[in-house]
Amino acid sequence: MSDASRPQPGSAPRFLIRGGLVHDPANRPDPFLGDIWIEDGRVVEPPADETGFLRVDAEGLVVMPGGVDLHSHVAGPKVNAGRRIGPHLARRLPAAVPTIHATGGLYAALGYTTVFDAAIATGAAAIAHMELDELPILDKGVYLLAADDAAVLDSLAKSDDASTRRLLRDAISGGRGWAVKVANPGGASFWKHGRRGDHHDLDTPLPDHPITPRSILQRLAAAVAAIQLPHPLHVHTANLGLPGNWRTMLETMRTFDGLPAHLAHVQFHSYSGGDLDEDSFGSGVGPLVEWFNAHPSLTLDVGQILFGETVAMTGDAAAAEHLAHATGMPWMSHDLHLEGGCGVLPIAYREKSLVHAWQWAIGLEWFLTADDPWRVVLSTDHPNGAHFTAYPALMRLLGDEPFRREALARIHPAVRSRSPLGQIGREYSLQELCIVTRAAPARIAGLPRKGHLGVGADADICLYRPDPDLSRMFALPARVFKAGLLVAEDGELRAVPRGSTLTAAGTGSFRADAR
Amino acid sequence: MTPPVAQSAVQALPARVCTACPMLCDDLTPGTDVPQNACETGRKAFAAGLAAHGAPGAEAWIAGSPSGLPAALDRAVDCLRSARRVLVTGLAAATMEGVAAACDIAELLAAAVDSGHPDGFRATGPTIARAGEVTASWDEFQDRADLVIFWFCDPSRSHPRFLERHLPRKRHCRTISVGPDEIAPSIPGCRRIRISQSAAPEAARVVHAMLAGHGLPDREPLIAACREIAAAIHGAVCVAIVTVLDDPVGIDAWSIVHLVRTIAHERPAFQIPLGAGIAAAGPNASGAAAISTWRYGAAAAVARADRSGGRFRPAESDALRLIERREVDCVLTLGPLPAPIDAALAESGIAAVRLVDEGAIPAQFQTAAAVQIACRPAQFGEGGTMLREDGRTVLLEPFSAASGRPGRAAVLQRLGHLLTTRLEPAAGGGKSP
Repeated sequence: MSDASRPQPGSAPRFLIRGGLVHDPANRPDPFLGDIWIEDGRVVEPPADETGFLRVDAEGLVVMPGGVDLHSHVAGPKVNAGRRIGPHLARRLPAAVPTIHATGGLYAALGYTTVFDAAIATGAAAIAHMELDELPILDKGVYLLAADDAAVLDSLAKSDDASTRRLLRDAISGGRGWAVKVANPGGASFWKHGRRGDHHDLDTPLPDHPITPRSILQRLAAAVAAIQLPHPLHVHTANLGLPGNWRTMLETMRTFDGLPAHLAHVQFHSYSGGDLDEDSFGSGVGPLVEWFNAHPSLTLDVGQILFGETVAMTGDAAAAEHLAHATGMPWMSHDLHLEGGCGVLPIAYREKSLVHAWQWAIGLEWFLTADDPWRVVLSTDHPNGAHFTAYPALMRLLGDEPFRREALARIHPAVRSRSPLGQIGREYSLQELCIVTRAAPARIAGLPRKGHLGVGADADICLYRPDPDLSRMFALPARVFKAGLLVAEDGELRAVPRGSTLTAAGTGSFRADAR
Repeated sequence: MTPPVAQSAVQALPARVCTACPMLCDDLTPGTDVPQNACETGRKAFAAGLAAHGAPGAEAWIAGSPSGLPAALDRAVDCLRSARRVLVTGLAAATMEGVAAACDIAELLAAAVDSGHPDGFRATGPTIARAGEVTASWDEFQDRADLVIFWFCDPSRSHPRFLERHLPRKRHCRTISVGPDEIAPSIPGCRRIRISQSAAPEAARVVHAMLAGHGLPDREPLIAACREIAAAIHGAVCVAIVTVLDDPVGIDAWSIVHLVRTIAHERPAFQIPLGAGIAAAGPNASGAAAISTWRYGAAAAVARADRSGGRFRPAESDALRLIERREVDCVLTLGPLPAPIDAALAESGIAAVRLVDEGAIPAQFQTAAAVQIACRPAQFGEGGTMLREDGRTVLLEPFSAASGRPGRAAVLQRLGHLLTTRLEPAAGGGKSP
């Protein structure tokens, strides 16, 4: 065996990561001191003959699988609009919406090796893939907003399940998608054909189809399960950002009734207030997390906000208009033919804003009261809640209770006094942080070779220096390997390989022939 | 009368997409002759392309003299390598694949890039950043609008087939033309409301004030005209306001975006912001802007091609300014340039590497350092992708009965390869973050 503390960048050698504290929650419940053997970009069994294996000394380091961002916005026309709508934010380092190349480099330097863009219109899939092909290092995929397609809505309205399955299958195959996303079920119809300013619950019929949002959710989830996509229906439910929308979220969860579904950016859907609640804007997490904890078919990502300036972008045009009207910010919107549309605008989250402070506390409340980290994914809905480079700061908020208490002391006093956050002492362990950033998102996304370090796994591996300051620890991995290549070291890129595009059609489970 | 087609080389013309302008009409009647359903500009472009197709002629010109392609590429590499600062522009002439190859070259040379998008030349900065934009695809406009207001524009002049192809089909769709006397789309039943061109921003402000219930200025007869517009908007289900870009400063654009935004808060509404149309320098202006944005963070006027985020300098690093100020000493242009830039380039004597459509006569830029390379027009090229002005993806089919000349993407890829092999390893741009 050769001794090589630094494998050469740009090649995929056979090597051994030796003596690190390995966090591999998918295979071992507790961290262990051990070795990871790598060959041809995969984790392999310890070889009988160790000749030719380089050795990477990881003694004193923490070893984790590469991060998996299950819900982000990194490519496509609305991301491009986000780059243009805030030139002042583009001049920051990092830019609020980085270039596609910078996105790959920044994610990799952070230890993330897989990312999904969570909202691509089917008609924009070709151009989005053209852009994603230029995303370096990371493996990447897209969720298609097929639920907004006119033909799919027609089939849903006619209860023609066979046609729905066929149309979804065709959309996923043609658009090289990984999953189906619904952004505000039926929302495009309400936006295009309804009265502005009306808010609808899940049982309000669409203005142009004899179907309700609840039926759309039920039938879509069933269809996605039937064609065996790797990831269940990805659900951004109705009334995003509105006071009192916790009721809509609760009804959404009830709707699935045992069907698998992934609830996106739940923070934005967990607000009390409005006409039906006694108090003004606040947290509606309590009843939601109770239901969530009791229903293992559901998974979620949080969509945490962190304070600062960013750009909001969504396939839910009505939500964007509501936010634009409330804030007066420049607002970009584009309606697509026979599909939905999108909305984009800059936004600044401020500690002293009552609403923003509540949003911050509500996201953390979700993280800290959901029982099972295997059903929870760390996300900021980049860039909506915060930039993905803020993930280490979020990890410290979860894993360092005194730090969280200090942060809580700075926010709006009304939230400090009314939020249950101050009474929650839970701290995420490193193993739990590994779950919500790697193991769980990989499992929920349906990536059997990601998020773990067992034999056969992709050699997407991070080495971290242990540090009581979790933000510092996770912001600057000592080394990051992607498919066995050293791609980043102490924040500097060492190699810029091309990642793979993850498509459902490339998996064994997807039933391309489902009828 | 269109020139005859070189039938020996052409069995059938599969081209269904017209690349004469950014409308990218994709309904051309395939056959063996110039499609009669194209507009006059499209038919001329199609006929010129066919006439040049397979016709004898030089592959390239160096300083005005015919040359073979390899020698021209060598000379182009020399020009680009020896320049202190290069500008890459004219991107709208190429497919997305060609634009990507040109941007690769720009990154190798740390060149300035100007796609020609209006973001780059508006003196006060991009309108989208100041006011946003509320828009829809053209097909969506056609399906939904029941009130169409042509706001100081006549699309039939800039986009000859726009009204034929995309005017809403709703039975009770109303159309209103707002503007000076000479603006009048040829639409039966279109209501004319005359307002002078100089009053365009004020008219938008007054209609906005009427809709929002704000106080009104004492400006009859503008008030009366605007009251009619506001009343029509009040009575509509879905409002579309069609505009044509002719506003280098951005005040008109800013004012109309605010008006559309106000309407859209009350009822479905959007703007249909048409670009330069047949006056555009190339068919793929939107595609060029898209790639520039995802690579450099800005749609145009990028001071230095850097994939980690180029320096965006609107009104500072646009092609015209860079050439006029002699801030560049070599220009790589993928196609025709707007007349002011063309003139400035001719006057400057700056070295130019130009990709021109086959059949084009190299009358200009015959300076010692000028290289011109003949390429198949996109319509008769190796296929590829373009973006229509409203963002819709349009696929170009490869033209099977191709002439021996390469398309732009192929030329740029060869040029990039030659540059890569001849440049010092340390000379690259595109630093990683």
